[in-house]
Amino acid sequence: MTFSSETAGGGIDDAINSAVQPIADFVSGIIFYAVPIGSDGFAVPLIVVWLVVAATFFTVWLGFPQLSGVKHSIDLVRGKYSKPDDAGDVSPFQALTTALSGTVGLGNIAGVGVAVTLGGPGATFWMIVAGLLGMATKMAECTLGVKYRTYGRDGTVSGGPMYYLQDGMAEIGHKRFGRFLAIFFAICCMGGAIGGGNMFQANQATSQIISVGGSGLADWRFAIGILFALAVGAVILGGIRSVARVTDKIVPFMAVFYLAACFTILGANASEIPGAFGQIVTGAFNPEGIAGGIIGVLIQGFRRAAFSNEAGVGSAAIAHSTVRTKEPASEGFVALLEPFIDTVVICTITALAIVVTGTWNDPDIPAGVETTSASFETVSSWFPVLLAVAVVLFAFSTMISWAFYGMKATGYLFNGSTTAETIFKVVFCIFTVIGASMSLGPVIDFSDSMIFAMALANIIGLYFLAPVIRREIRGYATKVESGEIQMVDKD
Amino acid sequence: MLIVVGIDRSDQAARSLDFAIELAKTHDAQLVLCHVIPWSPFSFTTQIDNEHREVTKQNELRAASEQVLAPAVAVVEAAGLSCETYLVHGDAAKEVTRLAAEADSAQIVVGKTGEARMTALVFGSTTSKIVQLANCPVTVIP
Repeated sequence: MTFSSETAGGGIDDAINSAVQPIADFVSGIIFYAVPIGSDGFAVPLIVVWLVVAATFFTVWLGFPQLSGVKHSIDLVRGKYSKPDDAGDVSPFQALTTALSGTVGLGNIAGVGVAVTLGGPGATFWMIVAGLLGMATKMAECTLGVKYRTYGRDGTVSGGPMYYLQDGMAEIGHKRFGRFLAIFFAICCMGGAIGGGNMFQANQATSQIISVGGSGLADWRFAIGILFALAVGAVILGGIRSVARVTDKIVPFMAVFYLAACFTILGANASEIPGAFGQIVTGAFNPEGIAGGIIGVLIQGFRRAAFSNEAGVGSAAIAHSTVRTKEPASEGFVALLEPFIDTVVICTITALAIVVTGTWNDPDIPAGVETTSASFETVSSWFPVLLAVAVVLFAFSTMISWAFYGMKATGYLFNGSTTAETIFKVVFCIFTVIGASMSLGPVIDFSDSMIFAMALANIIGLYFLAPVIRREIRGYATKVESGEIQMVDKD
Repeated sequence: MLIVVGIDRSDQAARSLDFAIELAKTHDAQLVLCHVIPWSPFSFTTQIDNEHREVTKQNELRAASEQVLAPAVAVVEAAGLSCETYLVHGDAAKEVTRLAAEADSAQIVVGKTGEARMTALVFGSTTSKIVQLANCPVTVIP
């Protein structure tokens, strides 16, 4: 390390913080325009309402696929409908796990910490509701992602909201508006990749390293950020795919490991579990001391669930569009599982660990990954080290995934220009350092706002294309029922 | 009778082929040369892998067909016989035994594979899996 003095590190961090704060405030002020309700000055951000209304609409419009479709989606992921010809192509399992490696990340650990600290245990309930509803949005967007994917000159597959907004909307006679939405989406996707997909991840992973490694590291955020940027750069700029491949192999094990650690916490506090469920349910409808009352809890839960599972944001449609299938709707069914695994399972277990240990209620613990870390610490002093390893790996794999989403958006905007993609990658790495250096507040606002801005364009498109989505899904379901599409492997 | 020969780039595969040719001549049997490109639908991949997968698959098939199957077919034809070829992605042991199971009477000829010792110890070698799964005689060539 060449630059040495602690104050120099702190100085750079402060400079970055104060330079970015006004921009973050400005952007999030627009996206999170909130309507004040009640007398205590609490306000409802409209974007959260936007996501929940869409999820509810598609739940009804697609006939409650959360209930009727899950068995079929599990069969698809298990390969029971895969034909022998499909061998060697991207399987439903692979499409699902790559999409999950982008969504299972800090939203599940730090985001839940924020939700439960600010919204109380009741936020968990609304997170689960949002997760269940989000399954329908995810189904809708991933069906379209496959239906309107395109093939590049080199045979690579590209799909996602950019393409269905452009081509799908053109098909139904809204060519110009569709193109506008696609461009708007792609710009926000670049921002979302840099914000929530990068800065937030780098920031929280750095915080966790500091909280485990000792506060002496606090002045070294900038240096830790550079290390992250080098690792990310090695993959996205250096083309060292082996690093990404290794990470993608470790992350599923880390997820299992993380859940096992959470279960250990729950086991150690087994007597508190029934009480925790009670707190979650009563807190959901009858919260005490939470700003905004029931609406406040609901918004906290919905907001963090949306940030975690990204349903309606459109990112998953990019990941799922590479799957081998002739039926776009089949990937819609597979995508149903994503918010379920991400939010209903992983976020809920994190929330339970935080609630049973009571760390959310401790005013000395900042909201975020620190809340979860403190609940890990109740079991053993070395447990937060485990969490730190999980956090760093989750963050890294999410950053790689989002770098890819941002790159696809750049590719769309600049007609596949490799120069533009390279510039995007360099900018991405610079923002990794900036994200690691800032304090949480500005980062979290900026990341949320860019990610949710993607949902503006995406969901408008989903509404316009709702008849197409329903036709695809119903047509496919009829083929499955009639036996035209049959299980290949019945074991 | 059908003789399924598991073919890869190894020396053992070459010796297996020689053995199978003699066996086919003796029994007046039909030869099928089978090459399996290792692939699992349940492996973990990256976004960039997925994006290129269709192209990669075609490249893998072309390479295997040119570099593995074509030379083997030439060997068979030089011996005055004809053969069919079978090229697929998947699990080698499962594909070889499945192919043999589709014929009424079949034999399998495979080389003793050279996987890393640790892998073979933990997961068992492809050859021993073939021996376990097959419902027909299996000849293993060292």
